[in-house]
Amino acid sequence: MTTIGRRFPVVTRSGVHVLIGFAVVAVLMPVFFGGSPLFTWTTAAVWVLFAMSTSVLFGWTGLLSFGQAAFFGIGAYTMALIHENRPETPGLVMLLAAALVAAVVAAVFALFALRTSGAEFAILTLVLAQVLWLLTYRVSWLKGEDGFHGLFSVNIISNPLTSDLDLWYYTIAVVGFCVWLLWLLHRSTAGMAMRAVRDDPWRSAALGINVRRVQVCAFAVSAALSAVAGALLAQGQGVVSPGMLSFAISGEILVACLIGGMSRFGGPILGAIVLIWSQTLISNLLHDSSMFVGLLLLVIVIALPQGLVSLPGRVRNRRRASGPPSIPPAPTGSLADESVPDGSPVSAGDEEALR
Amino acid sequence: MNDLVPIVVAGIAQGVPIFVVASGLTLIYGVLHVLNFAHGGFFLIGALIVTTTLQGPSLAAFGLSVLLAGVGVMLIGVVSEVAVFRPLYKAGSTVSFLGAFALFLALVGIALLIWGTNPRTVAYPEALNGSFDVGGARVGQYDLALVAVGGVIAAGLYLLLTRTSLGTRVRAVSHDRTMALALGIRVQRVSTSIFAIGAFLAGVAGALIAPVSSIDESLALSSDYMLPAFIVIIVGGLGSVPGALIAALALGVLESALFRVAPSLSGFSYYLVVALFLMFRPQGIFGSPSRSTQMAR
Repeated sequence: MTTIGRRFPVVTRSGVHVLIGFAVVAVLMPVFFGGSPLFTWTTAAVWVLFAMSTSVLFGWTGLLSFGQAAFFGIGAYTMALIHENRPETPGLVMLLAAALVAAVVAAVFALFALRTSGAEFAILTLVLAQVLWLLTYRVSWLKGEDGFHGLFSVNIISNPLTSDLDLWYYTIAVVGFCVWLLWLLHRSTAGMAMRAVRDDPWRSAALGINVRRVQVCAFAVSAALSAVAGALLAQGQGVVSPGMLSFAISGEILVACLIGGMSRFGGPILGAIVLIWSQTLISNLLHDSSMFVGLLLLVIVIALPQGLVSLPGRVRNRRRASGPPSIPPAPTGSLADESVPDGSPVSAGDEEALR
Repeated sequence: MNDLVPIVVAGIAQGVPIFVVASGLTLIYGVLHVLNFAHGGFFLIGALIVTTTLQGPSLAAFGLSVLLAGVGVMLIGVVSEVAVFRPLYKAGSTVSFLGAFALFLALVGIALLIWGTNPRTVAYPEALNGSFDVGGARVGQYDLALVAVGGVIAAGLYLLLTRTSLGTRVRAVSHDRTMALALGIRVQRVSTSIFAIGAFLAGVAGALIAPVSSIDESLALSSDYMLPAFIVIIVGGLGSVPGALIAALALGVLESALFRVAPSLSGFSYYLVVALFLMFRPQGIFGSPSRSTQMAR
């Protein structure tokens, strides 16, 4: 990605490569997969969006949220409620409405919850999700355990989706578009402000960044896209139930982010795919996959805290460190290479920071 | 009066297990600066151990299995402190918190593997199965026993923290870790001990609620015990045991009163209270305003 970026700065600035990447995947996937594997890929695509939106908060802005399921669920329930009252509404409008509702809820919540930080903040987000989960049982028009059914028949513009293949194209198109928006945000000054707030809120405040506003905005963006993911999943599975608000969902999406690693833009994408596929494969073999997810996460947190995306860099460094000391190739405009005159390895994190 | 006594007793009885869990959480936070998310797993395993070890309906058998649950969970706690938290300590509190979360998932998964997914139940010990007549109102014997146990544990913790050398070291480390290190306190050993105590308390709390609740994996993060425990340590002030005690009992009584007066609101009182506290006193009852809460104002 970076090499392309160096040669064609226009590509990375406009994020064309993200769009092309998603288009290629969208076309190629049905060639190799069909039936239930394709459906798993559709689910994985939804989780890619969910993981990316969680990473806006957790990876970019440094706010740990244990209640992402709240926004995922808000999206799904918004879609279900609109579908029940006005079934002829186009699905894309429903997605927009879901995003809007979640963003407003998130912004209001964040204004309160951001009076704390760190672990306390994480617990408050967890509380938000649990309150919403409890509400689905207490409020009669949210239908408790029964939930909502028949969301297959949601119109996209004027007709509903008729096949798994259509669902795949629709899902990947929405996901690709949203990830592209996130790429633009990542490259913008707003994205830079988020990372500055993550690294040192005090210094950012001194530099004139409105820390609170950046955090609230990150929360709203993250919630809006999580809601889109929730609505997409609801549409794909046809059902909305309180399970979509449960802690299991909030936990799994954090696992996806951590497995992938959030030091790079694409980390959560990788993490979501690895998580969904390993869960699918393990639960084919065994009854329950939760222990393996926990143990996998434990290994990653202890041994590979930067996630799977840092693996190539680590391997490279180890090889460089164990091999004969050699002077690295002439720098090609990268600061990272100039900063190591003695050929000592640079950790993946440092390289990322210097770029 | 007739209404008040059962409400208060039931409320305190509900608050006691929450306090027992929360005191361990808050002690661990004070010493290690980690909000130990894995406590839910400890709590669940404590309850599950009772379902296996409890033989017969006698009070002695029940007491023995409660102790067994506490000790078993304590061993798990010591192993996890040494294996998971010690290597993560240098990496900062966010990474430790994620380690705790991973440990939580792994513990719940292991518990599912051993005990299965079917909900389990435990009978009340025979001697505590009835209810008393207090001023014309009926009060459950088990509830009263819980109140007594809660009193014993609170007093025990108070003595431990104020009258023993371990307690002095714990207070020193949670007050100023660097200074404690400089004075020659073996901080690592204090951390392991406090983790052992916290895990023991979580196991005991899990065991105590075993007769009152259906036991399945949802207990690890239940809205009856674990979430209130997290809320209680925020409301009481992170790191403060007296704060946890006051908050747990007050919230337990409030919840039990709401259950009688306005059943539709029950279950929400914890969340309402924590929202109010965040608005007006984010550092909790006994907490001191930290750098981050000051910034938030």
